[in-house]
Amino acid sequence: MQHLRRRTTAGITITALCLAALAACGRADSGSGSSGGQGSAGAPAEAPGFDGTTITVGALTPTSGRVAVIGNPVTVGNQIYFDMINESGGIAGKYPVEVLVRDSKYESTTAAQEYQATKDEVSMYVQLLGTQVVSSLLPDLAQDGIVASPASLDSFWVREQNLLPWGGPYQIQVVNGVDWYLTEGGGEGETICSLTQDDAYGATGRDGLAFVAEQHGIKLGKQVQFTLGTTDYTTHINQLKGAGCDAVLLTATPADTAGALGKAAQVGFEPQWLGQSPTWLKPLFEGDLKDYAEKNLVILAEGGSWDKSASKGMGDMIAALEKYSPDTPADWYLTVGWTQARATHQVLEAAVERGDLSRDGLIEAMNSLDTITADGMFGDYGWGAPEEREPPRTSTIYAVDIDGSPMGITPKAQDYTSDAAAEYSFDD
Amino acid sequence: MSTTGVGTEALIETLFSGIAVGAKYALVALGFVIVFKATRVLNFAHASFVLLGGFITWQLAAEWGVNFYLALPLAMVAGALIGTALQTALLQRLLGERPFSIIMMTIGVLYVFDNVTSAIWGPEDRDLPDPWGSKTVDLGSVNLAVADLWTIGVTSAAVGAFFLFFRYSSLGLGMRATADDQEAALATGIDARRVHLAAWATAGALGTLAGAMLSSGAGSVGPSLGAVAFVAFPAMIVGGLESPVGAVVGGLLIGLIQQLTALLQPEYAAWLGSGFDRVAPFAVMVIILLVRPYGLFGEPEVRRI
Amino acid sequence: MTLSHAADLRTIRGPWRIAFSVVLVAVFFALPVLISDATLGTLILCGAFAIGAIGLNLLIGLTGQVSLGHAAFVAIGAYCTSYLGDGRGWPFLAYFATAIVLGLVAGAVIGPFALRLRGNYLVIVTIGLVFVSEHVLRNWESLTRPVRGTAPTRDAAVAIGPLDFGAGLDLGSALYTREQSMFWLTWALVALAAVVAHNLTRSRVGRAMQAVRDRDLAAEVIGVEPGRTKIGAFAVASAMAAAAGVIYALGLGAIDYQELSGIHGLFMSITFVAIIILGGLGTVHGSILGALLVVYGQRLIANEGAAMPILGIPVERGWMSTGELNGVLFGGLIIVFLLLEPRGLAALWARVRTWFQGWPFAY
Repeated sequence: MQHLRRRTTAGITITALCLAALAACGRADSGSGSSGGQGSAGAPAEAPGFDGTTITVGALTPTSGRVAVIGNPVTVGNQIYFDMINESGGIAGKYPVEVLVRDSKYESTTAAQEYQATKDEVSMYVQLLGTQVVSSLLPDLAQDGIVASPASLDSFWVREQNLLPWGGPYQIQVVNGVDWYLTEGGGEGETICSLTQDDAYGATGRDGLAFVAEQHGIKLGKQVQFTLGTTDYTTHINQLKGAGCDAVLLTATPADTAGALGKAAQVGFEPQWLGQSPTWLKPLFEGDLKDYAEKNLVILAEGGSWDKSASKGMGDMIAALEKYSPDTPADWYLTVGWTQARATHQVLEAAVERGDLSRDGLIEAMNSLDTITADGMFGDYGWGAPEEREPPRTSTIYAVDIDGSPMGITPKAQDYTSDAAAEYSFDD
Repeated sequence: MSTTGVGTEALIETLFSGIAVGAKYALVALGFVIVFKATRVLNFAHASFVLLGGFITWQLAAEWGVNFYLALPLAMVAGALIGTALQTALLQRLLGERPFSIIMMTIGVLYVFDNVTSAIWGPEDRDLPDPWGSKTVDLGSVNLAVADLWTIGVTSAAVGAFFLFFRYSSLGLGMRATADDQEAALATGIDARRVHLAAWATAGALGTLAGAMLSSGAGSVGPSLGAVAFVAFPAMIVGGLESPVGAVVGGLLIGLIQQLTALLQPEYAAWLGSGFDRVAPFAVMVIILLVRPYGLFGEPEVRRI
Repeated sequence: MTLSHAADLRTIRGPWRIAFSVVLVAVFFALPVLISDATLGTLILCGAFAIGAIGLNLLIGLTGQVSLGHAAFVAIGAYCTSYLGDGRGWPFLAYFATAIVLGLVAGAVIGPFALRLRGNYLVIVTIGLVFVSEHVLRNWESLTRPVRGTAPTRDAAVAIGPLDFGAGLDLGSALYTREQSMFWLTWALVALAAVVAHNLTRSRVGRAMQAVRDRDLAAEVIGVEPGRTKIGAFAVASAMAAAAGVIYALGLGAIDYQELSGIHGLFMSITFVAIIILGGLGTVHGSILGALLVVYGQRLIANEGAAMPILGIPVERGWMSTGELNGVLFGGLIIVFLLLEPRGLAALWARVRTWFQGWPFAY
């Protein structure tokens, strides 16, 4: 029987050698695709995500799971913007844009796989949702030379070559919001506390709060953190109440906001709640919490009221929503998606103008822009090479007004800018 | 109590909230235990009963405008039907299989139910139109949420009903007999299938009730409602998998431990890390199991060679 | 039918198996040249799950100790890669070996729980493990970097001697991409894990494991020490999970503690268990088939899903998203296999093989 084994080994070895020879046509240098693509002006050559007529942009966003509640309206915002552009012919009037949506489930693992599966089919990404998703994909984006717009307002993104952020970062929201409370909001000399999620997003709130406290030279009150998945906020609320907090910065997502505010309402704790933009979801506050939220909660975000006359951007967006997705309810996150698509449009437009839709062409086109505008929906973003970028430092403090506004929130102090926010540095 | 932020008042309120949270865990654990006692199935799909229960109650009360006190029993009936359907269509066929296969079957059901629920109702959290809202009862220095009082009341009522049911009804006696010794029970003419169906129906109804109670008051109905079932595991284990009384004691114990940890640990034992309240129930569970491998109220298994 | 002891001990038996092995080797070498890097990336993940599942199958299928805490040990390997490989610049073999040793140790520490607990109680305690590891990982900030959300693994070196898989193989005549090279490395490791598991199964230790699974008290009577056997099974399974974690981390480029622990860690552990159920309990090749079915299948749905009529993206929302469909199919497959083919793909495979072996006399 021994010869049989020898024959097996020999057979395997021979196959291996044959195949190694067959396989000797590696392709390590074929996949880069970042060079070339320079066509004659006005007619860009084919490039990844561009087949000569249609430009494809990607969106890696949760369409399932609990964060889909944010992902879905952002994606609708992306989509209706390009629906509007496509109706007039597309980018530069001739290249329609298609959005390739993939479900990231808000997991960096899934997003990494979706990125690998889609990167060769898209010009750039109009949306990458989630701080941890963006952070895990950054090295890939850099290596592949692809541009992406994050749907996350972390201040880390400002100086990244491959990112196309929009809007004032979370830290700016908090700095402006707290500054507003201390000055116009009647909170002078009051004790400011915080209730924040113990993760990356919660850290943005704590950062901003520590910075604004230092700027104003005030001492902060109790800082409480909670873990995602907390079912009962009694102890958290008791700690805040016991510490005599007059205002509480809230860095949370909607279900936790409702849980914490519900408990606060029950124990009769009525500070000024300062909620960061992701705390808000209208349907959760239409019931029992309506009166409490209208009285005690303000939302720190950016933008104006849900009104066609508020700004050109808002007017365009509401018109597009009525036309292309009439069943979608009003939502602040639509403005996020719209703004991302608006920024993406400007980059693509510049690239088409320069006649180069390749990876390098898009980066050069992006860096050639001076300003990225959101048509008044959000503040203009000072643009250029990464080190020149200057995010808007304005925020809008919204009051809760369930019946008065389709979004459920209405500006209380629009485009508020503080000295403290002007001091905030994005360079470290 | 001099220098720290934890006062007597906060302590009392925390104890009450521990009991209220514990009552919710107990309600979830009770559904697990009923099925396990009668059919020896560790039912992961109970998390789906809780989730579906919350959504069905919401659908009835919020969308179709059914009075909440009517919507709740209706939803429980629906939950009971789902429970029986599961037993008839799937679990019954695995009778006598390894516990491991049965667990995986219920996990399969969990995945199907959770994703179908989210396909039907979407991903957003919503407010349950319960009549209690953020109303409270003021007892001098402490406030008690009406929703919490209801949860405690409902859980007590359910436990009382079970006690009477197991003690006096023929089906309840049958359940106990089947749980003790299936073959002997069959020999005395007890229909094990009926017993199993009753257990699953009860679990479906209890899961629905738990889902509704969890989303009442300060809570909300959303896709992660079922996740609480995993926190109820420690409650169930601490009490012993087969003991309804144990489930209640375990639930209350875990609720109290969790709330007291959330209040005291950041002050007195910060070195344990942030968010220790979430992991405390599991730590307690492991310690109790090391001392008593079948829980506080569980029965040690007789092992045959 | 084997006629001699030597034939019985042989790993590859009979002409059919020889032919099949040759085909497998051919596929192993040729595949990376033929398919895209994105697909190879998915197959690398499949390989990581296969290695973990082979280990878990030794624990569950062979020894009968059920664990839903496998993700905790995968995390050990993943964070070795990030902390030692990416952060400290350790060479591949060093952090890979460290991961395996730490896995062995962690498994041996957890193992004794299995001595006191049985059946359902053991399952729940192992669930506790993923929640406890979540707490530890969240608070171990230098390791998991929760503020940036993920810990990088991309810059970890993956070179064995002159073969640099991480940067892409350079064989003089040809250059290969990272994905092509990592595919070869990963599936070579899968083969290694399979051989280790296969030989373990046939050894004294393997027989002791099966004895413990079937009747541990009886096993004790015939001289098998159930305690040592159970702890050993936990240690080996955990070591393989840690090895899987290394490949998983290298395949993804960055890792997130929230996906390796807590509720997502539980889901990952469930995925491992589902893989061995769908593949075939107690069989080595079943673990590999199961990993391909589950991991590759999910990717297939994600890639092709958008074209399916019932699926949709929010704007023209269909009945469910691709993520939801994947969940339903995953659960549905577990149910269907448990009802119709509890012995998994391996049993289906055996039927096909028998048919071919009997051909043309199909009786």
